[in-house]
Amino acid sequence: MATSPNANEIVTRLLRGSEKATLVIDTRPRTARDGASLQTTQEPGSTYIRKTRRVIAVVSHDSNGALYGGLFIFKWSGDALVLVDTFALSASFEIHVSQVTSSTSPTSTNAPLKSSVAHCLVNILSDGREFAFVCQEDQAVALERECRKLQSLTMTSEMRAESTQSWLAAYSPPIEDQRIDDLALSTAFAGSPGDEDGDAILIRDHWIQQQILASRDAFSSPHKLRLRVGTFNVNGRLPDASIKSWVQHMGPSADRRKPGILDSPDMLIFGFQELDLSTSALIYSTSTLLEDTWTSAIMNCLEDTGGSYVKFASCQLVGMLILAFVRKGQRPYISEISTTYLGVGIMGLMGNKGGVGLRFRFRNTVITVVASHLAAHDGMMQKRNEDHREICNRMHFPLRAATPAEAAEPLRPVSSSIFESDVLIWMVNCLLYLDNSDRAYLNYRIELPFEDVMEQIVESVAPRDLVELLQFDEVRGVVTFCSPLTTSIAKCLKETQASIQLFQRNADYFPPTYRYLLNGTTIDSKRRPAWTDRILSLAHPESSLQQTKYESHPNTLLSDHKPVSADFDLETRSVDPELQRSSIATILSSMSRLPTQANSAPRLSLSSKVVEFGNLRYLETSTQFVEILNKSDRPCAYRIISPIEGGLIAPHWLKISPIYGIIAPHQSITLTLTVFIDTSAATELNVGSGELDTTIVLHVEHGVDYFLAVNGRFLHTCFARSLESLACLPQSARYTAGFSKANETRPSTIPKELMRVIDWLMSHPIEDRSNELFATSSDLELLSLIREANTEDPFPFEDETRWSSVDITLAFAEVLVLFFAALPNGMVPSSAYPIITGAAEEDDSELLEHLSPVSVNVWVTLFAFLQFACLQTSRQEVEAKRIGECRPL
Amino acid sequence: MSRQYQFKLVLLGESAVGKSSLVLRFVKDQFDDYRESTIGAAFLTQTVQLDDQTTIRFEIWDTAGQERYKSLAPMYYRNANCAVVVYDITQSASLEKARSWIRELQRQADPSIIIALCGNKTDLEARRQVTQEEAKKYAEEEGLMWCEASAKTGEGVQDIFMAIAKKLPLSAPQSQKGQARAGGQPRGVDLSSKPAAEQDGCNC
Repeated sequence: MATSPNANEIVTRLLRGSEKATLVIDTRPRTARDGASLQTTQEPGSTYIRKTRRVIAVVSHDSNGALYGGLFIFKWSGDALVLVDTFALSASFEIHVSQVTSSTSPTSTNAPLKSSVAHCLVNILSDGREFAFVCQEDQAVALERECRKLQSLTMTSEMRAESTQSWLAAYSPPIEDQRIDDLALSTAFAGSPGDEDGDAILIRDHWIQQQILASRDAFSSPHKLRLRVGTFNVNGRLPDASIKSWVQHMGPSADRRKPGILDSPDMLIFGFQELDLSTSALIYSTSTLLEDTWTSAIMNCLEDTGGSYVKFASCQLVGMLILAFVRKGQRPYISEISTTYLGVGIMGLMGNKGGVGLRFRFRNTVITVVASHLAAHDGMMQKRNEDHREICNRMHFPLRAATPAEAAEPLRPVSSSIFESDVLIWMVNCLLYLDNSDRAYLNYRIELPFEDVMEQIVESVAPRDLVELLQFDEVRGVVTFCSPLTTSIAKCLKETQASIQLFQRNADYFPPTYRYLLNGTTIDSKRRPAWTDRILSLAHPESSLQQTKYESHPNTLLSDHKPVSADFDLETRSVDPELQRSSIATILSSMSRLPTQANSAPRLSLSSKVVEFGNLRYLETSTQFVEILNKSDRPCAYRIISPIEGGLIAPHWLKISPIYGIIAPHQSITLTLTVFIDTSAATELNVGSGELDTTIVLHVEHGVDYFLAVNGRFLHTCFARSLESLACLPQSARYTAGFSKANETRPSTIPKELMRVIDWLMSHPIEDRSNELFATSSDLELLSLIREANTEDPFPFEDETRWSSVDITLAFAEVLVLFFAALPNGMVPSSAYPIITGAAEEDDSELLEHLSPVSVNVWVTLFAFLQFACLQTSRQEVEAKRIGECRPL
Repeated sequence: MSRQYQFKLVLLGESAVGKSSLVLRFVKDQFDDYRESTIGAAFLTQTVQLDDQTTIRFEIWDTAGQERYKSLAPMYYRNANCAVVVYDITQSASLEKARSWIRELQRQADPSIIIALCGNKTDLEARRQVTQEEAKKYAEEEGLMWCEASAKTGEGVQDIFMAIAKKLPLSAPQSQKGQARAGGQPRGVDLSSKPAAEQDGCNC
C-alpha cells in the first residue's frame, strides 16, 4: 500500500481510543524518488489538483461491539492535518471508482516511468454532498473495498441500535464558531453546564475589567507619550556625526499648548548590538566605557534639538546595550525601573548572543523593551528560533517593592515576564535573508520572528495567570514588523491569512539594512542583502499604541548595518489613586453576591420566549432584540451554551451577542440576534421547507437553562440551486417549498431566471461604461430588488428614478456573477476537471460532453453574451477574467 | 463514617402538572399558587438522610413540559440515575403524556434508570380523573415506582424522593461525588456493574 506512514501516524493521533483508521490514503504527490508523482506542482494548471490534495482515511468506531464507519477527509497544513469533511458510511453513502483513461490520466504527459501507474477518479456521494479526487488505482480499489465493508457493518449496527452518527460529531471540521471565545470558558451544553465556578469567575473578571475600563475617565486622564525607538548593530565602531538622523526626529508636539510646533519625542530608547567585537567581550563585561561614549554622543544629538533630556536607564550585556532617555519634565512619571539580561551564547550562558531588557512604568503604563542579538548565519534558523524562545521564556525582570509595607505582602510577585506588560517593544537583530526566488521568500516568511512571536505569545500566556489578558487575535492585529513588503511577500502573508492591510498600514518601505561596505551606502555584493534589524511591537488590546513611522537611516555610515528607528504614539493615563480605589471597590463589591451554588441563582425574565424573524431573504440581514431582566437582588453570570453536545451554540445563519456576561441586580441587558442567510445556508434551505427553527440555551451559572426559541421562514430563491433543479421548477423558485425534481415536468432548456438577467443585459446597452461591466459594486438595495424580483412579473424598473439605467444594468451584471458564484457544485462536474486543468489531452470542445444538457445551454448562452459584451468593450480581458474567477474550480 | 452519594434526577411530564412545584416543595418546602411555567431547565440540589451513615444528594433537573422544547429533553435525562414522571390526577390526558415519556425513557435513557410515576394534585381529589387503580396497574406492568402527592399540601412529596433514595444502589464509590455536573465527561454513577434492585411499586 502506497500509504505514507507519516499521514497514517498523524491520523491515528487525531482519533479517539474507540476509533481506528483502517485505511489511510495520502493523495499528496509523491516526490520524484517515489517514482509516482500524481502531479508535479510546476505543471501549469495544477491549481485544482494541488488544492484538492487530500488525505483520505477510513475510520471505524467501536460502540460496545457495534461498529460504525466514517470517511474522513483531511488537508495538509504544513506538517499537520486539518479535517475538511466527514462522511458517515451509512445507507446513503455511495462511492464510485472510475478508471481515468490513459488519455485523461494526469500523469500521461509526464515521464514514461510515471505512466505505468494507473489512476482512478473516486466520487463520493452522501446526503447530497459530493467529493471527488484522483488517486492511484490500487488505493482506489482498497478504499472502495474498505468503505463497502464498513458500510455494511454500519448498517447492521444501525439496525440493531438506534441510528447514530453522534460519534462523528466530535470530528466536525474546524468552523468559525462563536463558542471559541477569548475567555476560554469550559465546555458546556444543555444539561451539562461545565465548570460553573471557574466560568463564573472568568465572566465576572471580564466584566470587572470592562467596567473599570468604562469608568476610567472618572479617576484618570489621558496623556500622549511620543516614543522613539532605535536599533543599531554598530559592528564595534564608535559613534560619529552621521548617527544624527537616527537619533533626532521632529514631530508634532505632544504639548497641547503648542499646536503646530514640531518637537522632539518625549522618550527615546536605543538598542545596540556588537558594541564591542574584541575577544574579551565574549565574557560578561561590566565596563561602562562604551556606554558612556554612546550616551554622550546621543546626548549631543539631542541637545541640538533644543530639548532637555536625562538618561533614566541602561542595561548592558557584552555587546548589547539599551539606553533610555526621557525629557527632564517627564522623568517624575517613570517608576519601577527594572533591567535584566540573558545570555544564550556558547553553553547557553555566554553573553555574545542573547538579549537585554528594560521594564518600567510610565504613569500607569508598563513598558517593556527587549533588544536581542540572535545566532548569525544562514541555516541556523533553528538555533535562532530556540534562542528566541529561550529569551521569551527565561527573561524575567525582578520586581522590587516600593515600600516596606508592599514588601511584606505575602503574595507579592517577585518577578515579571516580558509579556506581563501593556506595551512590549522588541528590537531584533538577526540574519534573515532574501533572494529572488519565490522559495526564498517563503523561507524568509518562515524565518520571520513574527510567527515565532505569535507562537510564543500563545505558549507563554496563560490567561488566568496574567494581569493583562493578551488576546491572540488582537495581538496579531498590533504586531507591526517592519519588513519592506514586496508584492511576493505580501502574497505569502495573504496565504497564511495574515491581514495584509494591517501590515501595509504600519510598514514603511526601506532598503535592506545589511550588509553595507563600511563608510558607504553601497551594498556588499559578496553577501546576500537582508533586513536584519527590525523593531517589533506588541500592545495589550486596551492600550493605544500607534506606530507613526518606521524607517532606516542609510546615510549613517559607520557600520556594515544601517540603523533602524520607529516612532510611536502611546496614550498613557495619570491616575488619581484615591478615586481609582473607590471606583474599583464599588465595582468589586457589586460582584460579591455572585451565586456560587445551586438553589440560589437569580431568576431571569426574558422579554420574549419566542423570537419571530418572519420572512428571511437570501443575503439580507435581519436583527431582533431580547431584553433579559435579572429579577433578583443578586448579580448573575450567564452564557449561551450549545443545545447539543459538541455542537455550535447556534446555527451558522444566526449570530448572538453578547454570548456571555453579567446582569446586575434588577438590571437588564439586550441580547442581539442577527440572521444572515449566506450562500451555503441558502443551498441547504432551498432544499427543505424553508422553515427555520432553533432553540438557544441561555445558561445561568449555578442555575437555570433558559430556552429561547427562534423562528423564521426562508424565502426560497433561484440562487444557490443547481442549474438542473432550477430548470425543472414548474414555477418561480420562491414558491417551491420542498419541491425537488419533478419528473412530470419537462425541464426547460435554460433556467428562466438566468435568461431574464441575460436578456436584460443584452437589451440595455451600457454605452461608454462598458469597462465597468462586472467590475462594479452596486447599491445593495438595487441588487436586492433584482435578486428578489418575481419571475412572473417584469423587473420593476420602468419608472425608476433613483438609479440611472446604466447603473441598473451594471447591477444586473453583478447579479449574474453572483448567480454563478452561488451554484452549489459549479457548472462543470468534477469528472471534467482533468480537461480544465489541462491534464487531459482532450479537445476543449469535449468538455461539453461532461456537462448536463441544461449546463450546455447555459454555457452556450453565457458565452454568446460574453462575446456580445466583448464586442462592445475595449477591455475584453476584464470579462473573461471576472467570469473565470467565479467558476468554482 | 458518614458517606454521601450523589445522583442525578430528572423531572419529566406534561406542562402544568406541577413538576416545578414538587421540586420547590422538596427543596425549599415552599409553594407558589401562581408559578410561571418553566421555560428551560432549572437545576437544584437537595440532600436526604438515608440513615445515620448515609446521605443522598439529588442533583435535580426540572425540565420544561412544553411540547416545543421536547427535542431538548434528552440532553437533560441522559446519564440520569432516576426520573420522576409527573401527571396531574385531574387531567387524564396528562397520564397519556406520562406514558409517552416513560416509553421514551425506556428506549433512550440509561437502561438502569429508576423511574417513578407520580400523580400530583391530590388536594384536588374532587376533580380526580385518573384513578389510583389505573395508574398503579400501569406502573406495575411497566415495573415503575408509583405514588401520589400534593405539592400544595406537601403530602407525599418527601416520600417520593425518600423511596427513590432507598432504591438507588449505593455501591458507587464516594469519589463519584461532584462528577454529575462535570462537563464533557460521562456523568453519573455507573450502575451497570450491579443489577438495579427490583423495581416495583413503592409503598407510599
